[in-house]
Amino acid sequence: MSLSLKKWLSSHYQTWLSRRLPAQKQHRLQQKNLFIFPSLLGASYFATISIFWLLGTNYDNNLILALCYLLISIFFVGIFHTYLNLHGLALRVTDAKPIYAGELALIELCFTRSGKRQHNSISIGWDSSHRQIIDWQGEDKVLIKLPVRVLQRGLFVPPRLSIKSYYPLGLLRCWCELAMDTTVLVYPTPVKCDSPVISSSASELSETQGSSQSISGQQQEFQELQLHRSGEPLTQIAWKQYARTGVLYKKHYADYASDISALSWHNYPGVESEMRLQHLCFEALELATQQRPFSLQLPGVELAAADTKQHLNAVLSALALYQVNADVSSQERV
Amino acid sequence: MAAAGNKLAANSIGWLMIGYCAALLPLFVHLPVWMPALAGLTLFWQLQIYRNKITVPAKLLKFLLVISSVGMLFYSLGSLFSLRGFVGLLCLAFCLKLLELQAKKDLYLLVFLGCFVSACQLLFSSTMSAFFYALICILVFHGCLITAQLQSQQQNGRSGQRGKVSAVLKLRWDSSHWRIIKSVLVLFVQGLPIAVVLFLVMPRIGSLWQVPINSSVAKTGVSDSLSVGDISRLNQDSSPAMRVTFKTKNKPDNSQLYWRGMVLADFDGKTWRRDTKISSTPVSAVQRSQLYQYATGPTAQTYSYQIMLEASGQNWLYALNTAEVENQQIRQWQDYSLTRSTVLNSRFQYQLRSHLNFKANPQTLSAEQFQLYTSLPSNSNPASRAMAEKLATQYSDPRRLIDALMRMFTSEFSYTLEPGKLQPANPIDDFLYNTKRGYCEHFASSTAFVLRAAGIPARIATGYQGGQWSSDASYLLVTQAAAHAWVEVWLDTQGWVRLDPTTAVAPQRIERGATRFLAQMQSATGLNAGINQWAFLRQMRLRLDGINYQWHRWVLGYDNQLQYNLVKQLLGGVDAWRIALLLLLATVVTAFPIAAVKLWRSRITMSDINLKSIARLEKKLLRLGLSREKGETLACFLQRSASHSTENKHVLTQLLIASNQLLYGPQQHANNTDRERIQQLLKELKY
Amino acid sequence: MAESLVLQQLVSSIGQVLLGKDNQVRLALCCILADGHLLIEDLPGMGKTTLAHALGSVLGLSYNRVQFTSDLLPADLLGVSIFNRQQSSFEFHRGPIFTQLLLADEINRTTPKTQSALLEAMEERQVSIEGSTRELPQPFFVIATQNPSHHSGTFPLPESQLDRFLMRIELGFPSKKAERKMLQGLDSREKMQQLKPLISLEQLQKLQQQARQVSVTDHLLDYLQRLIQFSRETPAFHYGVSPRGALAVLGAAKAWALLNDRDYLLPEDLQQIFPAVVGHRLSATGSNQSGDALAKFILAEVDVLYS
Repeated sequence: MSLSLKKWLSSHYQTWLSRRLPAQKQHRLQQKNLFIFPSLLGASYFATISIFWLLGTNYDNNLILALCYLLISIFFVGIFHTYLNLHGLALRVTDAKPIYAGELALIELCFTRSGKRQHNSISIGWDSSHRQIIDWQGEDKVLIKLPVRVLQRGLFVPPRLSIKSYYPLGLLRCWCELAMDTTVLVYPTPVKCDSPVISSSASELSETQGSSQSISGQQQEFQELQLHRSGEPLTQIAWKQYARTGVLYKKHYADYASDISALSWHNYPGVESEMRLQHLCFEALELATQQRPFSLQLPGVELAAADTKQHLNAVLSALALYQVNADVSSQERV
Repeated sequence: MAAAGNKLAANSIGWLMIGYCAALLPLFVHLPVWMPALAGLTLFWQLQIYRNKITVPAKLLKFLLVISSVGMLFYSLGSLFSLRGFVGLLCLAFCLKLLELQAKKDLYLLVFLGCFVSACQLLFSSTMSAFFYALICILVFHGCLITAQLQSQQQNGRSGQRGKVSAVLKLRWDSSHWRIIKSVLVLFVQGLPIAVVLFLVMPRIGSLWQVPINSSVAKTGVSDSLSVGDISRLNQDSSPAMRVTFKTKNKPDNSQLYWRGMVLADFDGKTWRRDTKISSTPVSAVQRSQLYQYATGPTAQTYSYQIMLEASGQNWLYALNTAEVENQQIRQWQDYSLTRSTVLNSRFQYQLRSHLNFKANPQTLSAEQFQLYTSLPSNSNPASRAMAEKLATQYSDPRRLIDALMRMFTSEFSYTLEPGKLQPANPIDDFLYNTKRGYCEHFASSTAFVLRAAGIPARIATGYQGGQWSSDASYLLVTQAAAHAWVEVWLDTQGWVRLDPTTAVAPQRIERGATRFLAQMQSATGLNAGINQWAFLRQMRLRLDGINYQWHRWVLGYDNQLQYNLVKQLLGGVDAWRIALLLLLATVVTAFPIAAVKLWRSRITMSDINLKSIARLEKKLLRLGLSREKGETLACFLQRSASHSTENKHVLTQLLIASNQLLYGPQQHANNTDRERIQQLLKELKY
Repeated sequence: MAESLVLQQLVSSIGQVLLGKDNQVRLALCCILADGHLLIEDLPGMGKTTLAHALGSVLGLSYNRVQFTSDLLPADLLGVSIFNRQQSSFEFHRGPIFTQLLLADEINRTTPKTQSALLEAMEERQVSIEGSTRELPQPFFVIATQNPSHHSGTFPLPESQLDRFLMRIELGFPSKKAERKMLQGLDSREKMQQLKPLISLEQLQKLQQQARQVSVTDHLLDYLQRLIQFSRETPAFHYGVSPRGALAVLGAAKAWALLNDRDYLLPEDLQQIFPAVVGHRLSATGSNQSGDALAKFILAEVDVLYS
């Protein structure tokens, strides 16, 4: 009963928030998006104040009353201090590197401030488990990498960023919840496929990895002569040229081996589709570390073979975004 | 409270312990002697726990500790339902809670308890120094709250490490302490105006219920009885007895300043006491009308003044004779002595008008009264009695008799503070015939005895004599050392007349005032020369007392009446809206410097007119949440801004062109048109 | 504007020979326009010679290349007087330095003596040999290359000498795309021969003149001064940028502005050429950071607008 009420309340709060504070690339903390309310400690502080007042009144003791009023005014001034501790900060997302599902996404935020105010003990986090605290004294800007756990591949939209501060006395809590207009590309988790891989077209697909390596040594071709530097193997020295010019040159060979691997959706029959993507991801990474070119084939997606870093990124994003519709990601914003 | 449950940092513990010691220290005087030991024990214990040398005490041990210490407190104080009991329990809770200090919530509880304990010392002492001491204690506890906020990031830093980190409590002095002190002071200073206004205007509603009060107030220099020869040495106590502010311009001479308290009429051969009958008969209507008649007469020498009497633990009040009272709390008796209905447990301030020359109507003393004022125990001090009879036969006129007696004192007797003990059976005989040395009590007592024995009605009045004018002569300070006793004698033609035999022996005592005179006496007799000897120190003491007096008058004595007057005077009336206005004003006074500093810091300080307009542009964009990096050119920044804020894309692109033209365009370009263009474009920005 | 067209043509035609190095080509051209000497620091085979040769060709300048070796003597560079028996007099044989564009290859492999002979000629634009002073041709540019100095058997140029080069650039590896294009395309030697002079000497001098006339506002001078000041005041640097360095930055920035078809200077121009102009004049205390990184550090730390 109470749980459903809580749910209902929180869903209403969320819709209200999203209307009031829509997602933006940059935010500036100001009156519009900052909330302030006494904390539990603040409530107990008020209890203390009232006991002071009772003590002072009953004993007709002006000094205790004076202390009581001082506490009230400190609380009052504390409201300004707590508010100003957050006010005037501006933040934007500077970097959101792609990650693999199940990892922590590190989203880098850049905080700048207007003026030279100190900002102390500001707790920031996407969720309650990975909070960081910035204590900002001298620098002009603060870069902070905030982690958030991501479980699903696709385009991850981080939850609302919560920023809160109890400074200076802990009596008041000033906070805001900002939706950052940013996404993190989440690749599938690389998982090694234990069952043997079925090659879709045997002619194109490479044999096992061991044999391909043995080939690579033979298929090197002569490319150019380079100046020999001491320490390089003598076998590569171009003796003919030495005889002619007296300069030690070495023969430089380049690897023109061309065993192109084809990664395909159809290589894993009977495997569940998410799992297939994870296997493909693992294979792609394996091949990339060996610097071997490979192609990718998914239903509706086809990428030609290459071995560059960009190609790997393209392959991984294709895997990440395979059959991810945009609505799913927007629903994730909670 | 978010981070409740975290292990505490050394900083918090350090601040708490400083506050702990500071808050408890002044209370130890009022608490049983074992209390400091307990406080020290728990402090040491907690330090050892923090250093991981000892484990946290078991529940049973803590329970036993609580039970036994409460029991001991009950045993020591007799009752827990007294002020000391209440404070004692509070301190116990504070001390014992320290043992449980582990998480943040314990720290917070201790901080609040500490604030109470700091405030409690004000129940016992309300001097200015006590107040500021309590204030500092409370600020230290607030500093402790700040450390709890600041430490959370240190917590965060090592949150990865599991298990108990062996914490080393190092109370090093580093910059973070300065930062905390600064924050606390800023909070305090900014809160001060609001606190002052609240203090001035918040209504005082008086006690809500009966509370146990402090029963151990200071003893006065004047007690309710006077026995001769009990005390061999008079202690000089320079603590203030009362302070007097005269309303009138002219002030009485020092020799007129007899602050009359009690009248002692009963003598049992050794001790003078108040007569229960006389001192329970209110002043009669006849007496009142006499006084009134005199007051309106032309010869009246009238002074109007205000007395602030220190807590005496007794109920009688002091006044210059003869006083006229218009205060419901004060009652006047037949012998014109004054009392208050309740015992003075705290300072008491009252207004009086005194007519110095007033002589009670020389109406004949009633026989009953004559009997009372001449009665003596029949078998005491035979030698003195014989001398009195001899004198009575020699001089028929009481006045001449008195003169003869005084002459005798002048020629044969001397004033001393160390008279030594007198023979207990017949002390007056011993004094008059043997020792011949004494102070006011000896002289007054023996004079009254001799007069009574000679058939002249006499009584003893006690109180204070003289006083020291404050440095600006605004008020008179009367110390306990000025305690005095003198004789009042009934003369048929004049009524009751004051007779001070001490003047016969040591006239300077009266002329110069007790303090200076006694100081001289002391140094002359080789006693330790007290601070009174040093003129400079005396001046300092007086000045300090002046501040103290104002403190008492305006801070401690600030009551509903004063409040009403002040508010009325300040605001021209006491209405809710005026008070609200005042509070608002205080808030503004607080907020104004903050806002001014903020504005001053963010103001554009360019001397260059072009850069000024660019700075304005940047400030506008800041409202969009966009700020330029240091090394970023304006064009880059505006381009970036345009990509962020699509709705302003066009305006920003225009701004880019205009500002580049303004700052870097060919020299012959007209700059003011560019500036105007920028101004215009800025207005088109949508937020 | 005819000049801008010419400049674009220059950039694009050099770009045909040196693929994918647009920025370096522009910097080199900018260096020529600012009438300064260029130092290219890179590994062998990166196209240093190609760049120098192509520049010479399109600008219609006479071009000489000298491979600096450890046994190269100043006379080998400057020239010697040789007794002519027929005329029985000494006849001066001009060394390879008497050219409009000199490619001094691997300048740090030669002895300091020869280095300073070259550097003196670069500064004075004349050489004194055997008592007589001989003017060098006008214009006179030196494009020197050097291997990264940690190679053994080199004499690294001292900082004071480095100061004489207006810019130091690195060519770096070409992108994959450019390299593929290069591999697919014609032999660069053939292409080089196809390069024709695009401007005359007068035109070049006129362009240099125009570069000097690019207008600079006080705001920019302030910015430049702040940059220079920062390099001198920050303890991270051994020593700051010299006044000559400051002039070099301004000259190069102006030329850059001209290359971008503007007759006024923007802070972007300054920022673009700053690492190339200042990088070799800076060294950091303690750290082993490259001059480029240091220059970028200065750019990031100094406010463009306000002091």
